[in-house]
Amino acid sequence: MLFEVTCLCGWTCRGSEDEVIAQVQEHGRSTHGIETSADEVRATWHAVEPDVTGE
Amino acid sequence: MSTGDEPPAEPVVELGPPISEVAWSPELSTQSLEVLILTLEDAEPVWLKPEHADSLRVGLPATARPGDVVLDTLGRYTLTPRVVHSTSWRHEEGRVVLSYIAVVEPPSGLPEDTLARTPVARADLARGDATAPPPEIGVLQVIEHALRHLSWLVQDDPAIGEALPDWRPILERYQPEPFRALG
Repeated sequence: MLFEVTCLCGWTCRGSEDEVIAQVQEHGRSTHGIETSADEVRATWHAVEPDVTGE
Repeated sequence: MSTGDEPPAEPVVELGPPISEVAWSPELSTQSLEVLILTLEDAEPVWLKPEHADSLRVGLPATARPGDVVLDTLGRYTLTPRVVHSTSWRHEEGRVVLSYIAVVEPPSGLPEDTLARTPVARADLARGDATAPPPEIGVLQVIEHALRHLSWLVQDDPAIGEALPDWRPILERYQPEPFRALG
């Protein structure tokens, strides 16, 4: 499954779960001075729907 | 110099979770929402522009109603909506972008490093051919179009008119010249 994430500041990213977690962590670190673990990033996510490819 | 053993520094700001997370696939013709948030400041329109994007884009899940997603988005900034209305769409980078104008109560504050108060500048509308869209459409042109749309709605739609009494003097500037005498 692929995800698209929008931050409150307008920054967006897309990719697989691992890619998005890495991008969110880097964005939080470089732009907002926030360090987050992968689990913390996952904990902020709401439920998402699978895409039509079923991945 | 950091040794890497210290605990993480205190965050500079506390951000909430992302405002949208939706499944996405590059193989699909996807769509996204563009939320253009306007408010008044000293009786002039101000755009609450995202700090790190040209405009605020949020994913639109297939089962979600766009207007509900816009309201949810405003709630993430604790903004109070007065009018939420879809005003235009455009095709951009393989996806349809559905633009909503959201007029909100002047906020007492905004989450740090998220939205910036930006004066609304006038812009020429993007024009295409009679059967084709403009080759390029800028965000300021989308806002210009949206305000012209609102200038009509505030006169034609009682709900919009009642919601935006203090916007009438501003929206009169956005009326096409031939219609100004008809209000």
